[in-house]
Amino acid sequence: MRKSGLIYLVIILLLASFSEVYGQGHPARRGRNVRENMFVLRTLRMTQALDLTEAQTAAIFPELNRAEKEKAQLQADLAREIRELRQLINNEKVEDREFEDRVAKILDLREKIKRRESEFEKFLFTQLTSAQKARYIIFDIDFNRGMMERMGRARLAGKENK
Amino acid sequence: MKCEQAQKLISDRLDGKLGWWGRKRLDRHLTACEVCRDYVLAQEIIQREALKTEEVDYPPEWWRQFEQALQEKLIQSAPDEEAISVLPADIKENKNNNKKGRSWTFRPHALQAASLLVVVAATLFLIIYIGRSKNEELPLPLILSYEDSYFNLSQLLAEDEEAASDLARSLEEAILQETIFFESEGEFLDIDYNYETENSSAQPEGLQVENINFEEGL
Repeated sequence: MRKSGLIYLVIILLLASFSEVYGQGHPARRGRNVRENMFVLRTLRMTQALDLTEAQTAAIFPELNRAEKEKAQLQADLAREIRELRQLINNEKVEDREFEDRVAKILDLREKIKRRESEFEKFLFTQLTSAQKARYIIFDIDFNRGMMERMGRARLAGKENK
Repeated sequence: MKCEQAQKLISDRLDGKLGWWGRKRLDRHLTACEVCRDYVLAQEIIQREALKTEEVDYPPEWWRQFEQALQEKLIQSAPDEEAISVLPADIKENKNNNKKGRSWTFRPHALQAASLLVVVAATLFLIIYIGRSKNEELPLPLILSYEDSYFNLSQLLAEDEEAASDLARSLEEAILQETIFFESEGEFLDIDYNYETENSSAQPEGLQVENINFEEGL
């Protein structure tokens, strides 16, 4: 089996396992959400950009999988907390303590996401060569920018259709 | 009368500007002061000799140079700002320029050219600066991590269901395109997995984007 074939097989197996994880956070949906698609695309592009070897793929992907599951759950929790906070702000009967609790939760979730992301990147950097580390930095910036641009286009298209 | 005052009156008398009362006062002083009498004699000799000198017709250029040299002498002899303050305006300017070690002359064309240059430079600077500012309007993805970017994106999409759907679709298409690209390069042959765009039942469940729960952000 060729290198890329192995990589794609691993990606697909990982993604297959995600259905359950994402499903827990979003009981109403049947398909995968934007986050999943972003993860798939990012994994594909990262594999290409870093030109990972089979050994690297075998070492990195399981950790990537674990980190993504955890972060996806944390992001879902954070989104829910923020949604509820928006509702609370409009409610005059809410006590300060309630706000304090909500804010503390949100800050904690943010911190956890940041920490988990940082943990994965530290691990990733132990597996990459210097050139791959450099490529990862650039890849990450480019990918994030690409997502924001894609998002901008999607919103623009939505406005034009209205 | 003091000798200093007397000498001023002597000078005025030689120039024919001394009045009757001044002459009387000067005469009274001269009868008593030998020093001033000697001064009168010396001044009369100088005046006489000066009047003997033939008139010379110098060209205007020579006079301009003479005037400039004279001004420079005056400037050099003026030791401080107080001294400069008694000089004519153009000489003062010259003095200040000399302090910088340069001699400036007013040239309207040069000034116009310099003004034009300043305007052009300012315009170019503004164009470049504004252009750069526009490019820097999107620094967010450059400083945010993947998760921060995702979080921002999810908050935006939570407010715009249609955009979320479009984005999910566009991501799905990108995944398909990139997968097909690698398949066409012969790097995806060993995987028994086929992304078919037309037959939705053949798509992996992971690429279906319907029924997204927008309430959860993404």
